[in-house]
Amino acid sequence: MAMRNNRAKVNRARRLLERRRSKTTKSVPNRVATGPKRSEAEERLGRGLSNGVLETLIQQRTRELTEVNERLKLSMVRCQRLDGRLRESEELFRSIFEQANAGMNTLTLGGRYLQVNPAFCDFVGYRREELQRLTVFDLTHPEDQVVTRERFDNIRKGTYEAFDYEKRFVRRDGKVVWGHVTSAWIFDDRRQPLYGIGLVQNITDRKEAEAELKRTLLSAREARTKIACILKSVGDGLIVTDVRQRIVLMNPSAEELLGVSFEQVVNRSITDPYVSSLLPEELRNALQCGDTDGRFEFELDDRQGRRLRAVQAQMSVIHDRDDQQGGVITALRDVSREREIDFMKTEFITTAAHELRTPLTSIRGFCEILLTRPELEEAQRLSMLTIINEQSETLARIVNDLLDLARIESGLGFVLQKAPCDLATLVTQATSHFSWNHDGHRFQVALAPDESVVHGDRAKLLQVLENVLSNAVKYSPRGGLVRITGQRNEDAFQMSIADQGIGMSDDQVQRIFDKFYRADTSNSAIEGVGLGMNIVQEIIKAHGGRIWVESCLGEGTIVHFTLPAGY
Amino acid sequence: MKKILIVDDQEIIRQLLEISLRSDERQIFQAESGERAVQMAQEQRFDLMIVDLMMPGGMDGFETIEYLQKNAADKLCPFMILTAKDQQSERDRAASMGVLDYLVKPFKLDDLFATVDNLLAKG
Repeated sequence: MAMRNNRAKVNRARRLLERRRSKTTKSVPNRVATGPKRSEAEERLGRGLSNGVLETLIQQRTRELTEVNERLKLSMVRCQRLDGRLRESEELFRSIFEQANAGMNTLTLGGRYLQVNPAFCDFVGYRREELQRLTVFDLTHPEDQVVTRERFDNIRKGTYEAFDYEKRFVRRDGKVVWGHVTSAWIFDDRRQPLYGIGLVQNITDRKEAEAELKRTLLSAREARTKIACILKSVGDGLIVTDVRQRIVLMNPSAEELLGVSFEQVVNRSITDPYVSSLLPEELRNALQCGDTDGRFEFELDDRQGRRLRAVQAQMSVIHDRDDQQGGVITALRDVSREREIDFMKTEFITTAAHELRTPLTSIRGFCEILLTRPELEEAQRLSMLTIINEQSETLARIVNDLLDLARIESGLGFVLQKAPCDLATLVTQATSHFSWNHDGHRFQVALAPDESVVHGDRAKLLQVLENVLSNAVKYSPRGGLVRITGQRNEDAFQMSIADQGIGMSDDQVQRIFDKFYRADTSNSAIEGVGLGMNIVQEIIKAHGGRIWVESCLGEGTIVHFTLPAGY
Repeated sequence: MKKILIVDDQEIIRQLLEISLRSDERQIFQAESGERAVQMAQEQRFDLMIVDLMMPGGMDGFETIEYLQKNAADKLCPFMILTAKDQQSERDRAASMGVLDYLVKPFKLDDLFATVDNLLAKG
């Protein structure tokens, strides 16, 4: 048994040796390190060794071969295992590639797609076979072509082995999508790039959100700038205080009104003695007690030598989003002009009442006399009736002025009934009103009858002349000459009425066309309700003309006006 | 014969008052300004002066009365104010000067007659 076995082993060993011998030319490293021993055994075999020795040798050799065999088996198992792992790894890669949520591809240095996964196909909207006929550059957004080429060039030059960037792709349907591309490249032994493995993540949503955020921020900034501009340019003064009573905003109008710069008080509490010293008492108190949603008025002394100002303050609570009190906004309005007008209106009513009373007194008085004294002579009765008639005309004129005022105030303006009318005739008519009771005044008229025809409303123009002439008479209490001149300039007629009266100061001249303005309020005996020149101006303006005044205190006044020439 | 001086800048009012008040027992005088009234009052004594408050160019009614009260005390007569001004401040000022008869234009002739008769009777 043992012999047979041994013989079999010897045979096997021989075959093995023959095979080895035929391979001796190849320098394959010895995985079985028995080379020299084998040649010794050969020699011994060749020399014809004794059986006993041979037996021993064979046994030794068999042991060695068994070991080698075991090792070979082990190697084979290892190889099989390696092969399995490689296959597993390949399968894993394939599975990742096919099922990954992110787009994946492999591509050539020229940008041609070798392999693409379904996620990438979805991302760009092309089918796999379509993509394999396309290059990266076919899918790249025109604006990102240059950066894409740069990345590929870097790989070609060997500067980089991988790249990572964000770029736009144009989908098959034309839609633009954003991808985050990570690309790693495989090189050969000579450092030549073979192919790249790309990972493309869809970042379109993020990019859109970023753009949206940018837009929102931009519009928020714009809105803030706009609000700041509005606050700056609003005519009313604005002061904003926070819940802790600190001044957080003050616009230029408030600065101007209060004579305080925002920088002096910014973020300082209104209880701060320094801040308190800068603010007028009423405002300070109101801001401190926080009794908000109130309106009050106060007067500002002229800190910088300005006139006294009436200021109206309106405080309102600022509610934040949760309806909590977020501070107080105080709007300040300079109401000096309104108060002045209020005062003038009161004056006007008093004056108007007075003006109405004077003619009314004589009408009523003479009527009573006429009614109670039948014994009066006819001439006396007639003279009284004449006075009554004239006084009722004065009354009518005042009432007309008031109605004109109402019409101007309501914005209706005048309804003009225009026709050619001769100013020379109107002047004669107007001056006749004054001739009987103003003996001290002389009227000098220098108007050419044919030239002085204008296109206008007869009654209204008569009103203008009466007003201007009565002013000329009223404001020259010591009599004198009233000169009425006129000349035609191209398509307008200019008329001037000059008196030798008390004249006006520059300030009075500036305000002469103001409503209710009377040049001399201290001299309340001057007739008129203070509407005359305002109405005159409105009538001239309604005719498309212009009116202006020259005056010198103590020397007299000249009123000029133009009217469109008639035919 | 009682002498009444009418002080008013408006001729029509002076005429009206003169026609209304003239009678056989009364002599009516007219002054168109405060200054003229002062001048006339220093020349002769009147039994009554009817004074308008608003007059142009110079002394108004109050100033005229004040001046006469100070400077012509010996020839002083009762005053009555006849004016279109109808505000409490003016009535108060008149009262403070001792002038209690204050008639507002337009007035009823009967009111005028009653006031004038009353003041002349006192004087």
